[in-house]
Amino acid sequence: MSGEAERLRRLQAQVFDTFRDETAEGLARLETQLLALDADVDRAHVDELFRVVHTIKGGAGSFGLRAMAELAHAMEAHLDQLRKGASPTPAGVAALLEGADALRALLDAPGDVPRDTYAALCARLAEASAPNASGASGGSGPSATPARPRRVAVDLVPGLDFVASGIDLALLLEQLAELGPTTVDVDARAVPPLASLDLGALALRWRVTVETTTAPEAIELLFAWLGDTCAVHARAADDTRPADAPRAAQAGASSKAAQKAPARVDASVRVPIEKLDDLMNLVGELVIAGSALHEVERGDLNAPDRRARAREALARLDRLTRGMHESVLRMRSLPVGLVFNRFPRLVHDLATRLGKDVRLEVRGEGTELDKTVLERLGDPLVHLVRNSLDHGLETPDARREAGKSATGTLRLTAEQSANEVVITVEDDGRGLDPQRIFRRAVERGLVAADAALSEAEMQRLILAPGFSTAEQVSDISGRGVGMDVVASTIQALGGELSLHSVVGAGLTVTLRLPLTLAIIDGQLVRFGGRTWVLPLGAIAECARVEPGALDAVLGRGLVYAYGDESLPVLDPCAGLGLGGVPPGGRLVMVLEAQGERVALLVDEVLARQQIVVKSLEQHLRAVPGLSGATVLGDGAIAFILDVPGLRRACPVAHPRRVASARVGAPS
Amino acid sequence: MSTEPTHPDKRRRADAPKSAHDRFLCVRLEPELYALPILAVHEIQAYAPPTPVPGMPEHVRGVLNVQGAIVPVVDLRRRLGLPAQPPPPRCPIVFVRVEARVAGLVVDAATGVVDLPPDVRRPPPEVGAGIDGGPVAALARHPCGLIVVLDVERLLLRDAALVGAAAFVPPTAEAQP
Repeated sequence: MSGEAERLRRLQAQVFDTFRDETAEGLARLETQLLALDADVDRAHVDELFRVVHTIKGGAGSFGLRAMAELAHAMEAHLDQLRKGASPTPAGVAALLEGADALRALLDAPGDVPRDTYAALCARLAEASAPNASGASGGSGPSATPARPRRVAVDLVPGLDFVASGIDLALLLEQLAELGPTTVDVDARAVPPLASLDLGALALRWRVTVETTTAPEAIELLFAWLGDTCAVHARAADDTRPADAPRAAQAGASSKAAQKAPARVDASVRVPIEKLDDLMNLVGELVIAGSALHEVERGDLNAPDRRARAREALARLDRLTRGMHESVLRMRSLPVGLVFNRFPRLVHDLATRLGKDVRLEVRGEGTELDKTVLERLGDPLVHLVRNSLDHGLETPDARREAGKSATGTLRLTAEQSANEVVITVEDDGRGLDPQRIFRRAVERGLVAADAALSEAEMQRLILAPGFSTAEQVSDISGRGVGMDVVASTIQALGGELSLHSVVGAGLTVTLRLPLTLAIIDGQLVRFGGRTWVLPLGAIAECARVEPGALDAVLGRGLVYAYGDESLPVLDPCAGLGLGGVPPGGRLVMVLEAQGERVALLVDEVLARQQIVVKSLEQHLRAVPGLSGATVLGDGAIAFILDVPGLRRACPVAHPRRVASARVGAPS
Repeated sequence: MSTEPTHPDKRRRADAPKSAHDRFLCVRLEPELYALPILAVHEIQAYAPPTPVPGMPEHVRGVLNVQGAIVPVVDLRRRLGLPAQPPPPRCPIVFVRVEARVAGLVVDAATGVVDLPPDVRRPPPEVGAGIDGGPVAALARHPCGLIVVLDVERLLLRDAALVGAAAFVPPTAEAQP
């Protein structure tokens, strides 16, 4: 019994969590949309805003979060005016943004919040919409629109998990009652005979007829957050179609569901399907490995190979478990966009407050980073952006004086290079003033007054704890806490921070973050009796060595004829400590890195596959010629070759070590 | 001398709670006994052949995949400069951790956990350059014989093969309490 109660409680918490997640996402979307509202009004845009707020209102109402529902209602009323063609005012947008903040605060607020907490804000929202809604009485909500109330039939069809989800039907009905006078009918026709009654499944349906001005679609939206837990169909009751025209209703519902589907994938499934497929495959193999183990257990107890087979099965289980661990870790990587998303709002607010005109450019939002790294990256980035806005970018007047465009540009970029993610925060402001930094450093006794500082030393000063050159301490930045904290946070994540400043032209802060889980396209090759990985991007050509393609130079080094170029032929075995093994002479790979080409002798070219790059240097010193390692499908470790490093680490192949060389070598 | 250490040991058991800092994993490198601080022991696995890494000194046998991380496996015998001797067929690898670094140590056998309170651990005498300043933290007399207490930190962080030259930790006088 108590187990059942516990399960119920967990389910309820789950449903609430879903609501919270979706609301948080809705709010993020709302913010972006609101900011775009500044620029141009477009009907679809406003509809989207309305839909978001409406859904939040619906969810809040159903969970009994009165203050939240009330506020969302006021925001919705304001948006409704915009929907009706009123043009957005700065005050209105500001109030809506404030509303979004308040909703977020309410979402996180524990326990009960008095219903009228945000009464003032609600009043402001109503006021902001008033001038445009001259005819409307009071301007509060859909009920105030001067349409004639119509009868709307709302069917509530609970899903299989309705009871378990703990959603209070009374609250749903109450919410409908707020739209207008209601009559409720219960449809018990689907209730099975007592013998086959499942207490967990609700077989009752409700038909609520509401006399309201709210459109049926809007009512459905109000309950959209319920998802499959309880299907809600609303339609005008005045058309006297028979109550149960199941086919038509179903078709309508499914097409509606199809329309909503993409949005839902975005909203709740954050894991790309191929990552799930990977995990699914592993789970499938796990089942097979498990049954192999069962077989051993069931088999002949005295079979001589029983132990060996058990060990093998266990080893496989082990490998799969590790694979699953990795797979789950990979699911943890999230697009940087999740952090970048908050910046349009931040930049908008700060720029307005500081009287600056700033255009924000964001690139590479899709670049993925581990969730933990991403979470810890937020604050440092906020700090850097604030710094740029506060100290870097000038006011429009100052910019014009300096001969720059009045609008400053702040650029946030993320990109993945080999095994790191590089994030840059770049502005075209005034840059760092070396004299001011120097003066401040002397004032604070950090350097001697006659010292000459290199750029690197300057950078170290800026990153020193408590160092700030801001003349005024604002609430935005200038307290001198920050750059050092930013630098140490980045370092703690195993990354690096560097500054590049040009006086008068801007500052670029570059964060380099290691990718613990970088995935590259790799080409497996074999030489020296082992398997190695070449990054696919570095391979220009792969060819069989034709007679005459390899020539000896000075009788000592081999070159490969590639077009009319003669490329040095590297002996990977000699370079990677496998000196005793002669390199293969059958296949040659032309590799390209940093504008240079080299040829590499290999024995075999194997599969191309996605390779999870693992750091070697986490527990070992750097190894020349290797950029990392990976674990292959069979559990073996293969090293990833680093092409520029390989060039330095490997000698040019000696003709005597390569069998096929003699064919083409001049006599 | 052989009975002396057991006495204070017994008394301690009666009235003082044992500290985890005084617990060690006892491992055997025939014919000697060595102790690794139990707090530094991360995992013990049966021997699996490590993948050799190009350009590594002889004492680094290669790397293994330990929970998704590529971890070096060190032949403890060679690392300590003991005469080479093939490890027995079923030897374990003891994975030890210092700060964020993990390395596996190949030993002949792990014999068990021993309590070596501070007063049993004595600073190593100068027995040539091999012991002094090396990875030996202390010597301890125990009923089962002399145990060489190893300093895992020095073992891992002062090995140029494991830590790049740049991050090399300069020798400091970090004495065991």
